[in-house]
Amino acid sequence: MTALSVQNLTRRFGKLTAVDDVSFEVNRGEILGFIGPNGAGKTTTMRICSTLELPDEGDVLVDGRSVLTHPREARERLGFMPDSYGAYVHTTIAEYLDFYARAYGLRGRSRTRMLDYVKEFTALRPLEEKLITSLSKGMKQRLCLAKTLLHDPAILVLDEPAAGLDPHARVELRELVKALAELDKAVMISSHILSELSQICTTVAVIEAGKIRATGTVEDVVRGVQAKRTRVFIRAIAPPDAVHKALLEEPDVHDVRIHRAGVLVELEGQEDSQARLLKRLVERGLDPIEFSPAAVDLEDVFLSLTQGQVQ
Amino acid sequence: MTTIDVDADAPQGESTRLQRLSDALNPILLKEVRQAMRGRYFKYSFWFTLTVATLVGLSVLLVTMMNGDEDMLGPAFFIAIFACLALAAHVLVPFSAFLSMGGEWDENTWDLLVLSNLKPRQIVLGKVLSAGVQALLYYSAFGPFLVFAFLLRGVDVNIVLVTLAVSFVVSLLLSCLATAMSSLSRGRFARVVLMVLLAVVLVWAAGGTVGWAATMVMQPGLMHDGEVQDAILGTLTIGLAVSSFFFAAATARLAHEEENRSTGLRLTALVVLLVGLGWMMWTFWDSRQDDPMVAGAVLGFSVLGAASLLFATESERLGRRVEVTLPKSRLVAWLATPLYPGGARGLLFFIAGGLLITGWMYLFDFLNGSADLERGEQLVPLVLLGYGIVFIGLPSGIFSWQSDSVGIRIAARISILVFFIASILLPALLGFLIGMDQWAEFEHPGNVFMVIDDLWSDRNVFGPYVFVLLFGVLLTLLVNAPRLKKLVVETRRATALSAKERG
Repeated sequence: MTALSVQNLTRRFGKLTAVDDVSFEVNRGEILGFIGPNGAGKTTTMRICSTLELPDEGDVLVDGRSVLTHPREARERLGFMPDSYGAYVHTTIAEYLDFYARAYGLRGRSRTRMLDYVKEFTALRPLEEKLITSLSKGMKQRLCLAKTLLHDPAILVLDEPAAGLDPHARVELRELVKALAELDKAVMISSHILSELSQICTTVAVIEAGKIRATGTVEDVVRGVQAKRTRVFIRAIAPPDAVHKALLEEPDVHDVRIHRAGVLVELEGQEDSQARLLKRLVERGLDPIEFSPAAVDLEDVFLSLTQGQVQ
Repeated sequence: MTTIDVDADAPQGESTRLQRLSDALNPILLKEVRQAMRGRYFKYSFWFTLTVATLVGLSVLLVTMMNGDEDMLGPAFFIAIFACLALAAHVLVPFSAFLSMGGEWDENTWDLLVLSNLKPRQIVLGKVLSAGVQALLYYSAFGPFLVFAFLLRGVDVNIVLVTLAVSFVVSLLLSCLATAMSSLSRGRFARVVLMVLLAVVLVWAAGGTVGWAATMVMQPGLMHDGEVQDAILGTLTIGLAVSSFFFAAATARLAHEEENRSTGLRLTALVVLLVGLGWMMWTFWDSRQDDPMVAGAVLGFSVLGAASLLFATESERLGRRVEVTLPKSRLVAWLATPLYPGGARGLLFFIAGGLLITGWMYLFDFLNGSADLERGEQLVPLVLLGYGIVFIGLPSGIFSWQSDSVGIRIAARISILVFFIASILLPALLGFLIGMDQWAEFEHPGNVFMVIDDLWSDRNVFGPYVFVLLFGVLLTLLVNAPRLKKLVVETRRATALSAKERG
């Protein structure tokens, strides 16, 4: 069931089109990785989804409610965790969460229970009397996530939640996001750390220069990239430097980098290209001893679909 | 939709009375009070004011006793303590409201507040109430000093109560003003300018209140004077009306630019106008003088003109979040048009408000038995309506082609004021240059004050100003024709959209 439907979204800032005819959907229980280089339009899209900004064209339906015409109803169904946010000074975790619970309209025992729940879920219970200003970055991210969960939104939009977190905190956050999807929530998450996303995302949308380059399940997008390009690991008797230099002269080769004792090659085309390349290596006397197709991951998809264009 | 079932076993009606009371409190109020009590600003200013009050109070007592003026001990001590209290309640507390509003942007917490679905009205109310709570803490801390002043004799308890009540209302009014001013801009430079402006207003207001309290304490008989009582009541009523306008202005500024930022403000302006007219009617009832017609019209059009200066220069677009909220019924939508956002609707608001003032004044004159259609002042409301249409409609109409730009909107507002002043000064200058003595002495049709004075004195009732005014109104309507046409098209489309949206 579609929880978040982004429909032909366009947002301009003066002459700059930050978001250009962007469309995608996120279903319940799904985690959509929203990936793109800096300045691609990720944050603008997410801010529109959360009603903080308005599109010049198009609309976003949050559980069927338009962010244009029914922003209050959309906010009731969506939780947004911005990439940067401030916290009130002289306020403890418990007071901060209590304030937002009241602001979301939670009353009486419902509020107490929800506060208990989010504190347990985000493991903030032992720290609840601590002042927010004394918290680490990871703890602040947890606090913001806890605040985002207070009104039990069906859809979560998380903008760079892992930014600035240490590896341990990233793993914890990943587990939290997975647990949220298991609660049948739709999660849209942006991150620069693609290895993190690849472990939790079920679908991806790749955006660059305000335009969607690919969208679909991770498998479909990877398959789409593989249909155009192949990645091969080559080890030869000749030194890797020599192999690297020789491969750069080959017409189908898109990218080459030295990897362990061999080279990793991005190749245009499929098996026919691989066969041609292998033949050329033998002809050039480089004596290949290992020639194996390597798996394509989200990072490869990202690099393959984007050219690092910024606006 | 709910995925986290926290309500499942919540027994009904188990909440205690205290819990229900706590639930009913404005969340912003709770947050602000918690923060203020822990923050340095309140702690330092609280103890600083109390220390200053103690030192000043003791000094005043010593000086008064050394002068052998023991009858003055009570009044002198009260005035000194009231001055310290005014510093806290009229300067420090409203200033904290200004800082608190600005803090939401400076500390990057505003987005999270918006997402929490709190309405701008709740946010402003919470900030103002928090300022009220802080002011009350000051009043209670100063309580022992004021009781001591009373025990020293020479201070009437009724005067103490009235001055404290007025002071508290003024404190709330100034906190509304501070919150409204703080919501005007998020830019650092603009905020510094606003802060300086506010500081000047607060110090001036505190000084004024202290001066007034001193007069009341020194001349206790004034409290029993009916005119003074009327003046206090009238000032408080107007003060409350103005603070409600500030409140609505702050609320409007906090709403998203595509949302309805104007209707609340327009309704409040209308209420302020009606309160002013009602107060005037109550004051002048049965006076059977000529003055009320002119006084009421000038007062009414001043309030209406100041508010319409803002409304007539708004962005012309209705806003996509506003379109769908238009009444489904076309008739109601058209009748409500002057209350919806947009510059052309702002001009209609002025015209509708002007007709209301005019009708009100004629009705008042008729009911009061002072109607005499042959007298010149009977024309004052209509003439002011005409001049208002020209002064507001002409510059705003010229600038309306680019009203989406903030800079152009500010330019339009300034141009209205410049046009108003220039229409008085330039003909006088011209008259001076070409040797027209009458114009050089400001007796020309561009000077609305002179025209009113003539009408009031039954001079030149149908003078040359009539032609200038008619030409001006026609020119204004012509200049505004494009945006009025757009208004018609937009309202038709929005009504259809709203009807479709609401099924």
